[in-house]
Amino acid sequence: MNFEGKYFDGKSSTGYSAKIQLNSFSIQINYTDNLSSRSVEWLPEKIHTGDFSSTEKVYLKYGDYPHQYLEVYDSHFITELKESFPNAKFHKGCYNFLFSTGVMGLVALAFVFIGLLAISYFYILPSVAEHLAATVPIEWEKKLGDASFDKMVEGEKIDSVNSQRMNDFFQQLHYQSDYKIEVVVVKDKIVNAFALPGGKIIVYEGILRTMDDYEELTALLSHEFSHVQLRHSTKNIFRSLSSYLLLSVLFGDASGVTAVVIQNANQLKQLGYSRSLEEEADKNGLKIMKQRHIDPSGMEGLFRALKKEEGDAGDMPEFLSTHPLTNERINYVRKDVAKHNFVVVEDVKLDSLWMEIKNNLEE
Amino acid sequence: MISTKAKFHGEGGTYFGILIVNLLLTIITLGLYYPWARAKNLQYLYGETEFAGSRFTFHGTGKEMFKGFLKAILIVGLLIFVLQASQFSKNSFITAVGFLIYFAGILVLIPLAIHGGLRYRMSRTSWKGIHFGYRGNLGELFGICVKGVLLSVFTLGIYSSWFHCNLRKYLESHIRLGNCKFSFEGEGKELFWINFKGFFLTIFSFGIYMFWYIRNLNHFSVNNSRFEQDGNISSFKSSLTPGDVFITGIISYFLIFFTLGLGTPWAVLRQMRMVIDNVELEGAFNPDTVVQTEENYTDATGDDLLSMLDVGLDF
Repeated sequence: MNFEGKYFDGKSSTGYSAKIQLNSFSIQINYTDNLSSRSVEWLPEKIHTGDFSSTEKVYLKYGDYPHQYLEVYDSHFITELKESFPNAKFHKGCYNFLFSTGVMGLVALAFVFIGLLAISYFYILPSVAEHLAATVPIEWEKKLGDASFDKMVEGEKIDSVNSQRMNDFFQQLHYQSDYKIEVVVVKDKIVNAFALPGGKIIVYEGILRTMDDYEELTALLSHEFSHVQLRHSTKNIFRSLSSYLLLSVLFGDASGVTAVVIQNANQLKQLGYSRSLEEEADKNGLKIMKQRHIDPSGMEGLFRALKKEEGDAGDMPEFLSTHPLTNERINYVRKDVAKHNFVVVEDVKLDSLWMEIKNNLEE
Repeated sequence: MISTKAKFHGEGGTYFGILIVNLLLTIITLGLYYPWARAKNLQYLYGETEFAGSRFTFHGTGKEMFKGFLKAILIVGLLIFVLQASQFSKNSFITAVGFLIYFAGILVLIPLAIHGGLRYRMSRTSWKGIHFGYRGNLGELFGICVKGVLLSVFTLGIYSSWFHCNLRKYLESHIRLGNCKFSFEGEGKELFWINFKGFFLTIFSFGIYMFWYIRNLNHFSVNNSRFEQDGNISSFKSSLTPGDVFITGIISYFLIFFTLGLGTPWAVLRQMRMVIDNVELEGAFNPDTVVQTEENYTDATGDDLLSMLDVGLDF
């Protein structure tokens, strides 16, 4: 078979009109340069095609630098070329296969792709992150927690007397844990409390003032303890990190990853748990309260007190802003309390510790 | 006078497919495919750009760009590590030193990346089988950048127009296409007034002047470029009008906005077509007598650094 095309020798930009002949082991190119006829022979293993050659215009490149080129404007050429050299590597590759599916195939691919992204973003990444978080040694969590603790209590006044009593109170709950829990009371009107990875729990005076009995304090500490025990902070960091990784792959920004780690370490306070993690902490709190024979209705009492605070202040207390809607929480706590049987044993020691804490606040 | 036109042939549908396939493979390989994706992207865009009846070819491969990518990650990663480690030290002196090292490092990297990136990009681009080449000297480029950055800072940005022109002049005058040379004749003063007028008139006209401003920048960049073949100098000319900018801008906006971004490939190609189709070369240029002169250069580190530092070079 003979074809017509344009040949470039790689030495000058002159395009020679050429006759191309497909032989059994090579391509022969005949052209005329300054009235003398010339012939070049191309071996199939040194031929490259561009990925975006169409059937109407075929571009072939040959040999080492500086390459020779051939342009052929004949729709039969590419099929003939494939038939003549079926095993040559120049017309292989998954990229061309993807393109041969046409526009509809690519659109379908795009939708599958978007679906996959959505699934991995909402389901796969969080569970991978959770598993990864479970492998982090406790010492690392402790270091992370201590580092952010120092930043957070900078310039705050710590109530060391009440902190000691709160720790005694927590010890009296006898919760089993691999973490060494340390409660710190900060002298501030903010109605808030939060748990840091590794075992530190920070409680602001404001939230203690809203409480009526030791069951409510137990509910708060059980909730925060659950955050620590269930590694919620660490899970959160891994989640935002993995989401960030996905997004940075999508948008090609790799340097931001480290920024996320730093940001999370410094701003655990602002981070806020997702509602599902909050609910998990609530339910786990209820469970351990019942095991300890303390009235789980204390949790409901705590939320009611916070809700009142919410109404009084006009805007939401910080503690609530990232938490599930208070009404919703009151509802599921009440349901949970009604559904299960439990035994309540009055704990005199907890009560007296609570009274001491409360009296210390009054001054 | 002979006029030689440029033409862009890219089609949104094909480009959309390329970007989707690239994105897919990049995600599946956790980002490792990125250099190959970039190579494919450039191969397509260059291959669809025609000048004087022949298209450009980009010869860079994913493998070359991957090697460059690894080196670039190592260099940038080291700088980021220094910055982060110094912040973790909690010692304000060490933090300040880390900060300085980081920014000095980035400043040194930019000329290095431009130099390496241009050498690679030019060497791997050909037209009618003739390769481009960049013959600049790193030391000289470094001098221009240091002087430019310092003066721009001291003059609160006023000098940056002159800096831009000096840089363009240096870079373009060292670009070859075989035995042909490029040059740039734009002056800082002219660019400064374009920017000055552009800034204030855009504000006073509530943005309407922006279309003229973009046209002026385009004309400044294109019309000041020269091309020399065997002693004959030809000039590039742009016929872009504010109306072109306006229409392309509006259509691009709708293409992106109403498709939730899926129309971006069409918008990108439309903008490329707007710029390229308006370019022509006027003068005694003979497309058939360019002779191959440049050497092969396959180290893509600079090119990858440019993309990582997000420095745009407009060719």
